[in-house]
Amino acid sequence: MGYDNEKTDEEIALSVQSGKVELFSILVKRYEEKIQRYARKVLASNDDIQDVVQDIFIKTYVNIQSFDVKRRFSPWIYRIAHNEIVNLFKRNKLRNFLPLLEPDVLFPNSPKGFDEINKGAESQEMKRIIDVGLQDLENKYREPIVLYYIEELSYQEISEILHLPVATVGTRIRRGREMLKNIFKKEGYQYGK
Amino acid sequence: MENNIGETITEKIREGKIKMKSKAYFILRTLLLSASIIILLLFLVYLLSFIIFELRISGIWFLSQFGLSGIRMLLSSLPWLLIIISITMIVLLEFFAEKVEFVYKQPALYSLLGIIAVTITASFFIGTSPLHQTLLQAAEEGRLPLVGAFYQKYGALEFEDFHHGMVSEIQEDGFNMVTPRGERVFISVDQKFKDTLKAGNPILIIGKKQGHRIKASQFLKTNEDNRFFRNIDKRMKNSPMKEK
Repeated sequence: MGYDNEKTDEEIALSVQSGKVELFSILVKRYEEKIQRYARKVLASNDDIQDVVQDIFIKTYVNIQSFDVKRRFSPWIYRIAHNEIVNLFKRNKLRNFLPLLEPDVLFPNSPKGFDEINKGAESQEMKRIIDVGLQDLENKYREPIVLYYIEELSYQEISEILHLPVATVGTRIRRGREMLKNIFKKEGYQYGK
Repeated sequence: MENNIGETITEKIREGKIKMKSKAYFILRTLLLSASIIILLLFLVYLLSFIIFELRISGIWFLSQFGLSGIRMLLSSLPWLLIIISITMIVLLEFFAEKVEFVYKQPALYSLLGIIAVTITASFFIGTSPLHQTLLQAAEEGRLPLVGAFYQKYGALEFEDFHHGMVSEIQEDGFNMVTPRGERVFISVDQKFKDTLKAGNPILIIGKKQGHRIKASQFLKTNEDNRFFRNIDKRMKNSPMKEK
């Protein structure tokens, strides 16, 4: 197991696929905290988080043979987490059932959507803003914001997780960021201080 | 909490309570998805080409050339049920296609327009080929199981106010026309027609039919491809003339 700990996620996934199922616990250890944080932020609740996260890892194990080891493991497991959360939203009737009809999915977005926002300078500030305003943000903006600022994934990876065009991801992050700043100001905080 | 989930899952795996799905399962699922997309696409092309065939053979296609009243007739004569089924299938096809990375990475409008463009282009080619006419004829002769009833119900629909066909013979006070279903009707016309019409011309008549006669209030030489009607002509020669 010691040597296995140094392997990449993709190498471990390949080993699990080949029958070394005990190595799956390494993947759980590596992603448990991230998936828990992601679920808590997106669901904006602490209820049932433990059960949701457990279900996500069970689905990951059950479906691991569908993982293409030539690709990155991280977007793949977040995709499973996203689907699980969407199912939870559907059960609670909290999400739009026809995402294809969202104008930013149907129509082309401004080319600006492709340019990743430079997080460097404002990263800490955004995390503070997110803590204050995330639960007041619409679901469709909340998820890309969490994946970008908290989970630090790229637009490309978020596009693979949410099955959205890259420019739509960019547009939602920009709009979500602006909405968060407004919520933050309404709450009486000052941005940049 | 740190290792709880990991330990619980490892335990469940060890006890066989959770089992990995096999690679074959996922291959089969991908094949099923691909097959569903292909079957849906083929069926959609078939249905759209049938609608195009229907519009052309019944003359609905050319009604707009009669002005506002023509457009009114066109709207009330369109095969709406088939059109609604086609639109539903396009949405379903888009839904399946969105599962493919190449598709979901583009705005949905692009893939939607792509599906519409591909299916309509393919449908035009098939709609103008003799395929549907051959099937319609087979259905009329009772040689078409399965879809025979569909062709008998929707193939070459007849309407009360307008009639499409081909001029078969010019007479003094009118002319004979052969309908797509092989019926010969006499068209009586008040206005001049001898200079403009000749046997073999595809024609759309506005007027009510009584028995085997139609008193034409208006007529229009359609620009329908002659080959489209040549098959009817061939059918007329190969089979005895229908008298209703």
